[in-house]
Amino acid sequence: MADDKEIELAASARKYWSAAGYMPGGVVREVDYASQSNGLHPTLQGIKIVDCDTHVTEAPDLFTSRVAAKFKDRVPVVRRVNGVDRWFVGNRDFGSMGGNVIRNDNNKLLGRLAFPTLEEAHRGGHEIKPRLQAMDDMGVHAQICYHNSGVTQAGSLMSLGDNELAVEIIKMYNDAAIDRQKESGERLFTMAHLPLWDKAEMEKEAQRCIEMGLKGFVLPDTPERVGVPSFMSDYWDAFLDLANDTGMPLNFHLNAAIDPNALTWQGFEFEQTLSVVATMFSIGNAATLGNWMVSGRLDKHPKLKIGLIESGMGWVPFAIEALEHQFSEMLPRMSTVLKRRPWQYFRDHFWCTYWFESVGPRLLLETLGYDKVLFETDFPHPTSLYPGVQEHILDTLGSYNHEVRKKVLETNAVKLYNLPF
Amino acid sequence: MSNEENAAVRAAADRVIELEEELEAGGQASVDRTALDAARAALHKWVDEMTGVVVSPGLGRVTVLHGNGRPSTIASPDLPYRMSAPVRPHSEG
Repeated sequence: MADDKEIELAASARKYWSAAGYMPGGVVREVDYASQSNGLHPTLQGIKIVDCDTHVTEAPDLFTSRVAAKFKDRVPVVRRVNGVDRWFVGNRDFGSMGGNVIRNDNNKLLGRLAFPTLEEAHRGGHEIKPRLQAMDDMGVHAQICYHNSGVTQAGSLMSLGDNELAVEIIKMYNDAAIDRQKESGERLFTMAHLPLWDKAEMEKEAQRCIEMGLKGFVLPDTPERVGVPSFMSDYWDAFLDLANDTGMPLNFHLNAAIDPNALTWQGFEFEQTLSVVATMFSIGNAATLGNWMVSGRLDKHPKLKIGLIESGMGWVPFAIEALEHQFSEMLPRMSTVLKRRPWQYFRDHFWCTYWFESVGPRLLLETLGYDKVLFETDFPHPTSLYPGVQEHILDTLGSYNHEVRKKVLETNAVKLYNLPF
Repeated sequence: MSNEENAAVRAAADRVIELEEELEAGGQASVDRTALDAARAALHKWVDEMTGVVVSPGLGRVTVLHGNGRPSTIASPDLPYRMSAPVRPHSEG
């Protein structure tokens, strides 16, 4: 192959692996941290802000410190490859440690997904004490936390060919989640993962997570994509009954079923591609909203609570209206199965989050319902709301009274996640 | 192939074509032996000519890279597993 073709192929391949996002580069935004670390604004006194979408980087010893001896030679570990920290399960590369663009000096990296190594990043990404300090500085009382790396991705674990190890990795992740929750003084609430591919183990682990005190599950929108039965299958009945009966919310964190290469133009730089892809991952949760609404599942499980997370709120009224139109024009045959209309399904079952948006919180709160919107920062991810948390809250909710602010910033989340305050 | 399997294949092909019709795109189904043999031969040749591949079981996706650097994506719930070797100990990495 000619040299230029090799270069072209290598450049193209990098795009799929998103490796560019973890390479040195990007632009550092200087943050005047002293002006950004004054805690809760006086006008918000009496509100315990719950930040409903954040990410905790799985600490390098998360698995090694909990693993049983028989798994020691395959347990997830972090190795540095070509200057970048990555997860390995046995001999298999399981990808990066996930996004953290807050530097250890509180400045922010733009145009990249993370620093190449863990020590360059803010320790609050993976350690509890600096995390709580950062929350205090931002004026945030509690956080709903999600994974950061792909080390617990169902499809990746299923590909190991070792079900016992795969299930054990999920259990260790959930054990770490409850340890974190307790050590933080009930301020960091990590959403549980499940071994989706093994019905019996999934149901057992779901029950264990509830009994341990975890506050919700995170699920993929289309499990059939990785060979797990669709939510239309009775495979899910017992689990969904459990969620329905216990009030444990199901969280759909973006919708990443979209193939970035199918949406963006060839010839883009990494940052150009990611800008479009990230936008579409958010709007992609419209498919999640629609899938549940047309499925009949919400009529079988009338108390299910579903969080549409890290996906914004501005698109939600349009999506519901579009589904209202589809219900009228395309679904008359299903009217005996689908007993409610999209607006009613939304109000009965769904919550959405906002962070960088202004139009949504200023103009659409009444339309969506004051009880249906949550606040988030996406800390410490790229494009997270950092710095300027309190400023943005005042800018977007400043025109509302204390009762509405408290709902959006605190009590909606407390009710959805059954938080202990 | 049993009659039941045959019906399932035809139903799957019909569903693909039905959904594409919303975009006024006509898909050509090959489910009968001669047409299927020709399609299979073309696919074999296409795969033989690939110059790289990215297997992403976490996404249910396999990306085939061609000699000119262009990608083709195959979304599949089982292909990534067929292409993944069982995990081995760290020491064999």
